[in-house]
Amino acid sequence: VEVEGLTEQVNVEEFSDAAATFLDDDGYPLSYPTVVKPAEGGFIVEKPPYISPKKKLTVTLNHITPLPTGGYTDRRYVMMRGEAEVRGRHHILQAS
Amino acid sequence: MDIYQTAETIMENALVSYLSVVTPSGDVLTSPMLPLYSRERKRLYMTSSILFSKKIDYIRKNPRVGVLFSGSQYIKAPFYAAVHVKGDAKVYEEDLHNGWMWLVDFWRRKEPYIDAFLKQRVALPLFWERAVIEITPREILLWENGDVQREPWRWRA
Repeated sequence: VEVEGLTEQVNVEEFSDAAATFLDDDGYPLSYPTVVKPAEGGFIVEKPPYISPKKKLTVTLNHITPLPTGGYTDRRYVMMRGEAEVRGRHHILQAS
Repeated sequence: MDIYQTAETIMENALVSYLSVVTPSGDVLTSPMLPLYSRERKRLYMTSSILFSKKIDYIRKNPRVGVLFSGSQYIKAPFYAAVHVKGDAKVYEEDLHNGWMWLVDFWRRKEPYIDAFLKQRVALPLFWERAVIEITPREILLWENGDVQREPWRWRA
């Protein structure tokens, strides 16, 4: 799923968790928990200060509602891939 | 703090995790998956229906995967930490019909209603044709309380 157009289609508030992932120098994917906010033409994706940013970024918004009796319901997620530009403490994720 | 043991508690008690795989073009695909951790084997397991087999194809070509456990609301442990596992994955698909059944005990602990679905296997035959993904941890990053503003604790095999 490309990012372009999704800022209008994806309501980030419908998801209770988010992860950003990139391909690390050792060839393994590296993910970290993040906060995603819509921005014009893309998304603002918070990043830890010590993470070396990569241009290709995958952002996954996820939601489940845990059940008191165990398990969960309301499963939904969306994965977005795009190019990330670092601005201060954030990535700006835009369409590839 | 014993980083590995702390991560084991998180892996055992998480309802969901993010599995990331690498495509031949170097892109990363991420899918939320139910994590099943075996302390005895020191391995993380997931099952995947052959209906959603793209990730399986990618793992066969490149076994380097990442798995993130985050979201305190998804992890029923006495403490919270966000955990990322870099690992080498192996796919078992010789017996798609029953090769994953040994994981049902782990599955039931997280989704107690799974038995009701299992009774309907004949109604959803392709969904229950499942490959097993086995992940051997190589490196673990652990953020206490999920605080990513601080550098993570690290464990390496």
